[in-house]
Amino acid sequence: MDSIYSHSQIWIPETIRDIHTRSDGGYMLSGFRPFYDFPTFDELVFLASGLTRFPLEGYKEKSKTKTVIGSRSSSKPLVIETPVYVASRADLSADLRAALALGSALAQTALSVGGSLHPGERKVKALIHEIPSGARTQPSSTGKADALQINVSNGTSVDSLARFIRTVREKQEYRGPCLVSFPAGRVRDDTRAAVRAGADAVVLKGLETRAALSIEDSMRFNRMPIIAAISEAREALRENRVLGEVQIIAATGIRNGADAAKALALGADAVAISDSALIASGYDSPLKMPSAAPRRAGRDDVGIAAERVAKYITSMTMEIALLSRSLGKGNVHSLEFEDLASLTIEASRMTGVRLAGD
Amino acid sequence: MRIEAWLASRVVSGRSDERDETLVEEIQAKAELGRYRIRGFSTFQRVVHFDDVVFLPRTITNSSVRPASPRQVRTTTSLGSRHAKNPMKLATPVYITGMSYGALSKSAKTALAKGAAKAGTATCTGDGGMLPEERRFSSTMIYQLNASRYGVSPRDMVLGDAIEVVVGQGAKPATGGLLMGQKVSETIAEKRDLPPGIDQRSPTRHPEWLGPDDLGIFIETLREVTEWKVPVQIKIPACRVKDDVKLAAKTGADGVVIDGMQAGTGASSEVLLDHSGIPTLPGIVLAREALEELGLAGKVYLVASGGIRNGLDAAKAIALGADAVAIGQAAIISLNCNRELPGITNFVKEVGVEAGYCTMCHTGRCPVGITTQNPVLERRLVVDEAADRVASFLNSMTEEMRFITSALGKRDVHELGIDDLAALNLEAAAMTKLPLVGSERPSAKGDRRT
Repeated sequence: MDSIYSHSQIWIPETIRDIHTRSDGGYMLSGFRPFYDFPTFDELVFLASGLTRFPLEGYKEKSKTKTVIGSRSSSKPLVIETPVYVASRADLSADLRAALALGSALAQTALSVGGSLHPGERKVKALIHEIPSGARTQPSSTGKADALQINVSNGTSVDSLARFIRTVREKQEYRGPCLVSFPAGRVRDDTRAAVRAGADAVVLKGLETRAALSIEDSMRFNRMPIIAAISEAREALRENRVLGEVQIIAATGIRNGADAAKALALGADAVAISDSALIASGYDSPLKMPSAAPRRAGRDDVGIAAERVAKYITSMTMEIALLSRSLGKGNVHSLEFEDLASLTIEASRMTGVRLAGD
Repeated sequence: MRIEAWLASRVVSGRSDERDETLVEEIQAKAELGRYRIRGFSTFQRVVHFDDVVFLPRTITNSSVRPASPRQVRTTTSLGSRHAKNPMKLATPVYITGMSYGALSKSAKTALAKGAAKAGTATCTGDGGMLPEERRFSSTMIYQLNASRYGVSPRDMVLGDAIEVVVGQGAKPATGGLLMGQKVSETIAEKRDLPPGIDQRSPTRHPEWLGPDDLGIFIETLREVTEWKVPVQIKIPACRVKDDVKLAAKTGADGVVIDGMQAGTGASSEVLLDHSGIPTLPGIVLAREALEELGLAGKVYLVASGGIRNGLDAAKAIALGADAVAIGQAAIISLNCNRELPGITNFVKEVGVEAGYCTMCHTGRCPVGITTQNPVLERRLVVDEAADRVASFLNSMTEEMRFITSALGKRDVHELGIDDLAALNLEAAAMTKLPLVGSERPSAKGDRRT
């Protein structure tokens, strides 16, 4: 949009469009993030091997990618072939949900989704069923899911969360892991609380979130960047002496294998992709609500889309392994803090990763 | 590309959208490929670079030094006096870095050798052996030893004026060379003992040595082969710079080349190009510190490379502590990389993008005949004309270095030091330990930790 304000820092074209759209009674869609800039994984780089460490060879030496989530207290932890899994959503069209489910199955990884399950979602390698923390009735899907993810909302106390987890575990003889997900606000405190309530893993959602369709959606932007969230969660786990026991999952801002590898190095154990998986699927309008999404895809289209999702995950897994080998690590979970350097002072302060040259 | 409809349907436009489009394109490409992407050129990340530090010329305060006109400024550079009987003597502290015959065409390699010789400086072979023309036309030739050992022969090695052992490259640290099948022509295949048309992925670890101790023994072998005549330098990607440079110095090398993350390449996986290694600027500073801590600064020479574009960049690198700089991408661009040649090239038709946006080095479809093995394309690069361009470019860099050295009241480009520089932003200041412009100057002894 051409505007005399195009060069302004505050009145950028997006802001002007936003106000116009609101005054028309609508709400604006914003892509992958708010309109402003904030530190991302791009501000961190890996310190590959030189003379100090030996790199592993690409075609001879493997860097293992197998990932275990929920080994703290569940007798049946999630075991997946790659640290990248797919976060699906109940508000997507049925075909798209089927494609994401099949894609995750092809990639031998997990799928997380809330609401009532789509038939395809029951066939995935590892199903993480998302339930709101306030749910009064016990989820009927508990038996079918390989893991439960409790999405904590405002006003959930540690006690009620602990009670909820206990009920699921005891009364329903649930043996899988309980993941606790929360928006990345007070990550350090919330991680400690989740650990105390009995969480096997925390799922962090930073401000790199999907498009805002409503005022409610836009509240997602009131969070911290994921790089800071992972670092805070790691510190909380260290303080509680459960680092390595409770897993950290980064569920926003992952665009490629480099992002995922950096998340692992910062302290995450796995990453969840959602928007990027939708884009990979090649579908028309992933952001449209199901009622608006025309049901035009046939079965084959679902298969093709699933294959694309799987290939995308494979590419990410290869990238993680490539970086991991360049650091001389035979397992992607051996990536560590010291493998990184920061390119900006902000990223360095947020994560504690040393500035390059420091 | 159905996603385009989705993008178009969004109401946003402008700055953030551009990045979104790149991201969508990247994700979709991988969804089709099922593997990581490979491309040429160098990183697209925005990182601290030479523009973030600035020279502060002396004018009235210049009284203690006899002023030199730019013409009087000395630029001659001697590299390798630590152990070698015959150090490299260069007319300028800028030389052309190693780029393989294979990644580059024979015409491009020959033009670089001729151009470098004209400008009185060195050129370097690359991962794929020495081209006879390269030796014939260059005045100073660095013979490169890579982990792959492609095309390496002791007969050629003794013809070198220096030997470079490559630990890694800034553009793709800790991985070996990549030469896509499209570029493995019959000639290249024969030289590297490979089947033609097959992707060549070089190993990353050297066959003779694993760690610095073995490397020390290997370097001694190289010295025996070359009768202790020529300098041996080690090329390191800028990652764990301080430790790596100390270990490199410990092996007994004459010099260390530190290659920053902005370095170019003919082919690399994108993740390594964009997400591995630290910028050249802090790379140089850390390397210099490492040598100072060992008491070897000035004894072990330091070469900086990675994104050096002009004489000012080179002068800044020297002021930060380098003894010389190496250029790769800039030299390639001087050969007309990414330039539409009317009546000869058609970038849009041949590589699908306009000149200025091409990163197709890895495909062998280089429209200007540089990174190709296709004889038709290669003919577009006229060797002698190209050699003149390289020489003119190198001379312009030297000229620039002379002017800035003179403006700073010094008589030799190697007299440039950290007290001639200041940083323009906090990142650059923190990474280089230079004072921020306008803040307190460091002491004359150069206390960098201000």
